[in-house]
Amino acid sequence: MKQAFRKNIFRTIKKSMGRYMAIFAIIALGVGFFSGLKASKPSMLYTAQDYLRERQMFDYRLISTWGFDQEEVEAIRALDGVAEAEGAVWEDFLYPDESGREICFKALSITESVNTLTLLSGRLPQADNECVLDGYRYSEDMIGTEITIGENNSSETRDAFVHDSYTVVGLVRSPLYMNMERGTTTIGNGKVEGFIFLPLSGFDYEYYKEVYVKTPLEALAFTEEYQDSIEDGAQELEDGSAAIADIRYNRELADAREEIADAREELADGEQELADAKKELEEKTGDARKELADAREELERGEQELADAQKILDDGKRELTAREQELADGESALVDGEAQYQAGLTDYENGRSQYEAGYSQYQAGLAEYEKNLAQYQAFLAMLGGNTAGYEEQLAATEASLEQAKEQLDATGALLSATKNELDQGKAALDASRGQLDASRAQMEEGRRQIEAARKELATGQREIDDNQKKIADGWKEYEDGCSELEEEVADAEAEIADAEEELADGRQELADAEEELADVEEPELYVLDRNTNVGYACYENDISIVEGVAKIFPVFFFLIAALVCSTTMTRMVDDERTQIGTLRALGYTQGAILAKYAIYSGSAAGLGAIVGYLAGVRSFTTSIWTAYNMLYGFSELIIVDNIWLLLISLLVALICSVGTTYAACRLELKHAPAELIRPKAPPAGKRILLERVTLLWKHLKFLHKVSARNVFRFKKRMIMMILGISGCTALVVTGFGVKDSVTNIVNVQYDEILQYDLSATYSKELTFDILEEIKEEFGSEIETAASVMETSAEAPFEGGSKSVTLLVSDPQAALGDPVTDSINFHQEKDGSAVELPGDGEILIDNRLAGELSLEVGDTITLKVGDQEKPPLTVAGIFENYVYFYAYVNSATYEEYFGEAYEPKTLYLSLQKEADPYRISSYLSDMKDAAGVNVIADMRIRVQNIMQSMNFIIALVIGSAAALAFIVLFNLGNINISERVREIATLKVLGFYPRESGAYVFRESMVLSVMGIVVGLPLGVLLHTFVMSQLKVDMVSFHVQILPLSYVYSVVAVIGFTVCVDLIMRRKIERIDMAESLKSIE
Amino acid sequence: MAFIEFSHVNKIYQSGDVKIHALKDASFEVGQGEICVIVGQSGAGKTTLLNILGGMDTLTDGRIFLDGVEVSAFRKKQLANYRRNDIGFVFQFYNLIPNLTALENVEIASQLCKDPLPPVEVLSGVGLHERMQNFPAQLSGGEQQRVAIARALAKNPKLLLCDEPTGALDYQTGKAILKLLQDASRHSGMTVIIITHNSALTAMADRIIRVKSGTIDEVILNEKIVPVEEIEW
Ligand SMILES: Nc1ncnc2c1ncn2[C@@H]1O[C@H](COP(=O)(O)OP(=O)(O)O)[C@@H](O)[C@H]1O
Ligand SMILES: [Mg+2]
Repeated sequence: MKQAFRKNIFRTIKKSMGRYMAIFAIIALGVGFFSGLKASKPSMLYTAQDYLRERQMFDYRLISTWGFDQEEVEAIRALDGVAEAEGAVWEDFLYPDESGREICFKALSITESVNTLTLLSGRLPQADNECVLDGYRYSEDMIGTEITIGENNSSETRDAFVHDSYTVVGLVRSPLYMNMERGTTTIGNGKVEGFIFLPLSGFDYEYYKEVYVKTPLEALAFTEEYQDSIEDGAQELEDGSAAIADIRYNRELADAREEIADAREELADGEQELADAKKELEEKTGDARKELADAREELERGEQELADAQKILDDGKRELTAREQELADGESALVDGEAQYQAGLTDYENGRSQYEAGYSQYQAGLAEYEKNLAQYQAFLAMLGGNTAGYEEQLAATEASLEQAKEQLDATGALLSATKNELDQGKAALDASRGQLDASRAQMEEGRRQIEAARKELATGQREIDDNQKKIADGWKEYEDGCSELEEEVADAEAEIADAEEELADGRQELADAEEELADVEEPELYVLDRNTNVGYACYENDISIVEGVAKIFPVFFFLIAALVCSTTMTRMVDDERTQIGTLRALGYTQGAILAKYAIYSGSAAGLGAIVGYLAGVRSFTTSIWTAYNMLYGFSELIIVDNIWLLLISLLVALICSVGTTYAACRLELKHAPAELIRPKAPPAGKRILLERVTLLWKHLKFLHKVSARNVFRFKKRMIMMILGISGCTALVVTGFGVKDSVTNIVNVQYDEILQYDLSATYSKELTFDILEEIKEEFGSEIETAASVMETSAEAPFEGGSKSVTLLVSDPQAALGDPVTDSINFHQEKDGSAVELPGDGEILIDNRLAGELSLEVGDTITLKVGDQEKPPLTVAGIFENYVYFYAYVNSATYEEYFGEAYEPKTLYLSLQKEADPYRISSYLSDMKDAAGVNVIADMRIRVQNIMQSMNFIIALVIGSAAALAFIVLFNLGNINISERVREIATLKVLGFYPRESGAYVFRESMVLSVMGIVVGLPLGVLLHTFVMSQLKVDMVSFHVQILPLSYVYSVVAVIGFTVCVDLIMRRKIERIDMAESLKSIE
Repeated sequence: MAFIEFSHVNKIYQSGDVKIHALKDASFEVGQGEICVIVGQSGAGKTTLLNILGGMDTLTDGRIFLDGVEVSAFRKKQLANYRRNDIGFVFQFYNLIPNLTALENVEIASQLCKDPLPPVEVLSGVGLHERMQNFPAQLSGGEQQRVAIARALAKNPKLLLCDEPTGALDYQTGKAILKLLQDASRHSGMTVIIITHNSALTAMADRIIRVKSGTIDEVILNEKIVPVEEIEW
């Protein structure tokens, strides 16, 4: 290339930077958009692939009705095509959270070699009472709190855990849960709210519930290769592991049989033993009884003997007593005699002393007498017989002496008599003394005898007492013996009874065991692959939204880019017509000239493509990932650069630019150089069709006529303009339409379909009391209350399965109001009501019908757990957008699902003014309340998902708007530059800027209106297509465009046009009349 | 005061670092109803002069009066009004609006001003009565220039400015056009300024202004005015 030529190109670029930038920008935008959208899915896919590889996501998940033991896990690991196998346990449980609400959690065992956890914060469990918590749903605040296995859990559930509560030590992500779905469960309200992972030792388990298997497969997740290999390998794995499971089955079967045989033998032994024992008992008791009887007899004999002895002894005693009495009598007589004797003696002594005294007195008296006599005689003597004068005194003295002599003589006689009496008394006394002494001796003898007899008797008594005691002991012994025997017998009998019972039990057990053995089912084994994991299965599906968008929009973009390139380059070639002619005249070849423009547009497009690719891939993917992060936040996005994408983008960019350039140049180059040098004749004016309608034409304002004619003058520009505007309109309509389809479902769902405001689930079946209580509490605030049973089921279809919320109610509505008061089952199309189904029939929602391609009259087979239920006939299809719903009546449920109809959920519709949260808190506090959902909350949750959708759409629409703007701007620019002379002329003629602007503006307005007219139906089509490409698992959309959206779209597009025109007006104003009119270059 | 008065007009074009002094201290006068011919070599500054006078361009320095009003003091809006009501332009390349018929091209101008002449009459006056409904593309160069003149005349302007009206025409046609301009001036007393690089045409003018590299070389009042038909070049 010659230097001058190169300079020429550079100068051209510099001179027409706007034009160059237009090509650059439109291509950059188109490529950025295309490659950004195209790269989003691969990048997100690769992010997931990388994550799953790093986290060792399982390839197969084995479930067996028999569970697995360690040996089996080892055996599975040793199978061909298995790189790693690890047993795992899980358990769903009710967890009363901080607010006291009881929610369902899933506890899983931490696996080492598969499904490894990503630690978000905290640490992994070290003790078996520690756990890590669902990091998607819970924040760091939860670290340190306790996850309690609630009291309302069944005993089986509680038994499955070693501890009653587990301390949260960290937050994790698990490849098992790539998205926010936590699945369904049979407990509580059937919805799992979160997961915890515990060490295996935190579970009390006998068998692993499942085995996760990793294959040595290198293929990346989501690839066809992976899917095919996994599908191919499944059968082999199933056979292999079934064979392994059969080993235990057969062994346990044989063991059981042997055990039964053993048991039977044991039973027979036991029976024999029992018989023996009975016999032995009988014998033993017989002997013992006889011995006891003998003992009794002997005792009785001994007693008799003793009684006899006692009697003799008693006789002896009595005699002794008599003798003693006698002795006593004798003694007392003796004592009396003695006393008598003593008294006699005393009397005698007294008499004697009296006698003595009397005697002495007598003596004295005698002496005195004699003295008195002697004296008398002496006196007489003296007187010798002179007795005269003395005769009387002597006669008195002689008389006194005579008296005293007489007294003395009487006394002497008395004394002699008394002496006699006394001597007699003394003799009597002496005789009685002898008598008394004799009887005393006798008495002494008697006493001695009695003493001896008493001693004898005492000995006898002692002997008897001893014997009595012996006999008493004997009796006691006997009694003891008796009771002992009774006891022993009773014990033995009880033992026998026990043994008999045991035997009976044994017999029953044996029978049971036999029955069981007969009933034992072979282990049923299921090999599940990743597609049964909700997160995995949904992921590809969900990220395909972008792909859906990536399908049509980029084409649109490239078409428009091509259009822009084409018009721009055509314009450029037109502009440089004379230069081309000159160059040709100077001897440049057609190729060289072509090369100039090709290089011009090609370099702009090439640069645009590269910049667009780099920027698009990065910005689009990251912003889309941000939107997805709300649903799938498992790791940082890995941006995957795809050289092919870049090459394709480059190629398309070059086709758009160089191709259109070539087309534009070729036309011009066909002309001879001389022709080119001359200015190109502007397109000739022509009458338009409208003018034929003279009546109308005549009434048009002059300038309007001009505009009308101008519109059709530049055919190419008109077409471009209409295409651009209609494209823009279509995009905007689609954008608003997507918004309508997306946002309105929230309203339709929660205003039109679900009529209730609160749903309260109880842990027990609902009763009238509960209803009464609520009605009493809130009375008029509650409009209707329907009792239903909410349960979960799986609806399998080819290539996956959908979790369905199965609603069951009693069509008679025995409890509360009919379910139709709470849920408005109606058809999507015309809103007509869908009748409740009969027995054996089911209502499904339009989403499920769509997924499973079902129509009214078809049958559907639902699964609960791993169990397939009998098919049901679809009786109707009702409108629903969020989750999947199906409805059967209670009779159908009981008959086809084989479980009792237990309505536990209450749907409450409230008055407008009622505060659902106040009622909700009351309901939560009620006894047996398991969970209360406020529909307003649900609404927000769904709205959030919609918002992430809206984000992608906004991104697309934003880009589309930018594109539309470039197009409009470019076309406007070209329009003006093509008509500079015309506009300059008008200005010279004295048009005000406003007028000259309007002159052009009116045209673009007309074109815009035409574009809008074309664009609206195009938008409807595009919207339909885009909506068909948008899919989210949880919700589907109500494909519709609200009338107001058309209005908005039209206003927006006109706004765009006005906006571009405003910019163009300034350009018009800047047109230099003097310059423009000088000459035609 | 003369009808048109240029006093010390300077025009400097500044493109980048390069300054082009297109008019240097240009001063002259033109009387009302005169036909003034401006001659000079290509690049002398004729068009610049005319454009400034016609309100299509602004001057750098100096003052211009038309009919006692200072045109050089006009703002944008006033300039537009000025062009609209006082000026008629005839260009070398006609500058007809291709999408409008001959009549419409006249109408678009006549609609703008306060007291326009009837377009049909004007067109008839320039001899295009038969071709009124034709589009420019259907007309010859001369005919197009006639339409352009009709467009300028229909506005009934105070001043008719013609920048090399015959430049793109053959001799005969050019002559006819000039005749038309001369007649228009003579009949309606309109002041007409014609630019040409053909000195022969100066014979038809009342006043001849010679421009030479931006300066007014000389201003000659033509004593002996020759009708266009008699001029030969
Ligand atoms: N817009 C412009 N920018 C720069 N220079 C210009 C411009 N218009 C005219 N000129 C210069 O001013 C001078 C006078 O030009 P012009 O009035 O067109 O000459 P004429 O009409 O007499 O041939 C020339 O040298 C020309 O190059
Ligand atoms: Mg000139």
